[in-house]
Amino acid sequence: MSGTPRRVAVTGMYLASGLGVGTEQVWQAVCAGASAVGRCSDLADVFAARLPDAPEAALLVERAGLGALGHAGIDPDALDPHEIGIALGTNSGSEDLWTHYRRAAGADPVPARHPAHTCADRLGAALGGRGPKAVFATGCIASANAVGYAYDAVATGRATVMLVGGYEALNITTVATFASWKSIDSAPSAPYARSSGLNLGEAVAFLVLESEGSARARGAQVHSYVLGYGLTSDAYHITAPPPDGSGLRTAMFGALGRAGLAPDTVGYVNGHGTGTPANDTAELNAMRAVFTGPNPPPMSSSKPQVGHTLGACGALEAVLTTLALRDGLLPPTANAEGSPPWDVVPGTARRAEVEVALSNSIAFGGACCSLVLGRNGGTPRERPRKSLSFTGAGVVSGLATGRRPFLAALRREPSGGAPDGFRSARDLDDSLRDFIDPKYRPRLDGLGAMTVAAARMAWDDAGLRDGTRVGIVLATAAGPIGTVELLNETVEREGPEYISAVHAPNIVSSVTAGYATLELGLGGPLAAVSTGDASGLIALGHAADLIRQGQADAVIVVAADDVTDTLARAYRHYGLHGPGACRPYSRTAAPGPVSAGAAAVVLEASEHARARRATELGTLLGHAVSSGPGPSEDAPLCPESWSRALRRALDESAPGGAGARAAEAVDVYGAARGVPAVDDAELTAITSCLKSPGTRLTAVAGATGHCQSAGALLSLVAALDGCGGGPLPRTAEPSDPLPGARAYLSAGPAGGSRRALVSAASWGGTYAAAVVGPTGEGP
Amino acid sequence: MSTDLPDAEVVIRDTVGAVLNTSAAEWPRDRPLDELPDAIYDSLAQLEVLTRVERAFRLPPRPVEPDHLMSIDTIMAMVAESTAVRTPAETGAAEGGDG
Repeated sequence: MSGTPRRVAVTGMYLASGLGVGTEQVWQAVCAGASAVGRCSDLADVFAARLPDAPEAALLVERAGLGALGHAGIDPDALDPHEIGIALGTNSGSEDLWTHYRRAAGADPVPARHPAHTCADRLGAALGGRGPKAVFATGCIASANAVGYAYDAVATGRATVMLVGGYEALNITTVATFASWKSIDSAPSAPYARSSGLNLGEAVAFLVLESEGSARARGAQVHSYVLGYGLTSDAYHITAPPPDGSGLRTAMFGALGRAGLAPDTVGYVNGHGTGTPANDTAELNAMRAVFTGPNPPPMSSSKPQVGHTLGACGALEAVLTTLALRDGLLPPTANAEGSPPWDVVPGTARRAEVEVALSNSIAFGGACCSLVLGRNGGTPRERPRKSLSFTGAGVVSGLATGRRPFLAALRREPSGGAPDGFRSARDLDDSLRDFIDPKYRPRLDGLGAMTVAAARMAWDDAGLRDGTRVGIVLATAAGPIGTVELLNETVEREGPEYISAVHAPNIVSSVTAGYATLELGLGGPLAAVSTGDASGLIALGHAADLIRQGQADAVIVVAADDVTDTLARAYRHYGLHGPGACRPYSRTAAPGPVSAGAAAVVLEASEHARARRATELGTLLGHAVSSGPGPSEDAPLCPESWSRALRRALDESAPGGAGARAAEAVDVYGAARGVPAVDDAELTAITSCLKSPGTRLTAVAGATGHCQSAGALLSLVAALDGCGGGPLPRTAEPSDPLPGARAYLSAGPAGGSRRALVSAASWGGTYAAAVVGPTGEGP
Repeated sequence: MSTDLPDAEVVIRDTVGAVLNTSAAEWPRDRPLDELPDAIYDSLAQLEVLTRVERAFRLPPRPVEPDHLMSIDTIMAMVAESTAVRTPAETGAAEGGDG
């Protein structure tokens, strides 16, 4: 079974940066060599580029996304809402959540019923889109990563239109972290020239990615095409790339290879060009390694003009690269005085007709991303629908540590939540020691310790030895909220100069994943998904795409979330954290405790797993992501959209096609956790698409408590055991179940192996589902 | 001040130990700190050591020069070379290596 991907066109754009608001305004200023970098008195007097108008993040993202859609001339009402999705890259999510939670947990809490949404959710609601939605927090490649995800969604037909963007704003804590590394230039930065540090910047940027067929059908202007992308990690150092630029080199070679292009077809490279010595050295060496012909392409960086916009830079620079292709005009590198070691288009823009261009980004944690864009759509390469197997798993939870102990604990009498006294990763510290190299332990925060330990367990369980083509996708709802809290409190109590250079990098989720690459020696793709509690299953789908297009042989998918005192107090305020047992599908609220936890699975090309004679735990048969807000504040989740994700995952997995779905009995591992707003919406979604009397329903939160994004992967680990003939987990059953729940909950034992459906949802209206089956099933 | 002053050496050893979460009290003065077991003495750790040493001895900020941060000896020499070097006791600085 194979599929020819669709061509992916860029039909709309939006830019706002320190140089102004509006794509053409920013583009003209960039080409003229103007700079928005100046001293910022509210940011410790550093040189930075600020947005002229910076309202709340969600509003800014909404304005930018709708601006790009308007530029594309798309009327969202004219499209099937399930065909429009959103991908966003930003590192602001964890800090936004912490701020929100602190307000909710304070002495004078603001009224709120539910945890904060991601800053993409408001755009989703305004758009009315019900397609895939994902937020990436992969450090400074976050929005380049999002472009890759959106490209896959359109290329494979999961969406016709994807709005993809990046956003970042600055605050004193962000500046303090960079100051702690002495990486801020005390003057306007000069990448590829003086290379004595960076200037930070704020921006929001969006692109509309659309299938070429849709764009042609409505007569839309195509500004460029996305031809492919490459994601890698380098496992070298947590904040510095290797001097030879090997991670970026591999990303560029991989991206070009999958686009079916040779390096000598590239006419321009939009570089990462931060201006730090480590970046510029690595980047130039990567360029020398890839472009060995007589006419290497010019490379430029716009960061001296708009600043380093962190999570936004991938999207911003993809827009600039598209404009370069559209206008035949190469944007310059400002401040490139002297004799730069490469043609960096010094000063002002230069005319040049270019057919193919790259846009490169590098992030903390060793992540690199290279996007390939072109004036023409090229010939998309076939993506064989490879069979994917699970070959290992790791679990960190209050219930038990390790896959087998966890499964054994699920068979015991249900506790309805974590043991007394357990809540945060700190409480688990002793049980994680054996799984983390002692030299990394002092550097990790709670999220990092759980992530590395779970990844190590999964790696060992899978019997993997060579990490060269093994990647990692981290999923986290709250992100590094412990470090966010620590750094903000340090700034408030002691001052920004007291931020620790060693611990500050933990504020970026790509660093959390990066420590796992260092621990295991991984060189495959690195990504971080932060889209609420559904993140674990969204990450699983991203990992499947990465393997199917040949970016990795295997990917470790880790979902992890810590619980801080602030988060726990806020959850109590919301009524989502209580002292009693967690009783899913209960008519009355019984949320139990919110607990730290992590789960990791190794997803691997079945062919690769079999070639190395790995033990397979099960097969990934179907996967889907959907979105859509609920009908009211009291009912923030949409059962219809949730049902859509379940149905699409089941349809993809049904051996007889969509018609066979309803007749087949499966075990459902739900996201319910004793919170009626979640449980009721999920039950409605399930009952609308699963009619078989043999369907059985369980929710692992009834045994573990609510573990945020880790919950869905804990369910997945249990589901894989169930597929192999293991019993359903014993969880605390409600004494007063929701209407219709009892029939599913009391379904009797099923003999032999069967399929399982795992379900997840995020408060902002994002839903994900995965279908897994016994070993040997699938394409 | 001479870098032979025991106070300065104690402060530097405490600082290195606090940053690396291990004891550097007995570590040979001339042996590279990146050979300390179960610790990573990379550029981030060097930054942190430098920042804390600057704070402890009230030195003006300076760029990271790995050669000057390689061992207890080289850090002491760096401190001695800096102008107006005083011990924490003399400056009244509250910050120590355990900060």
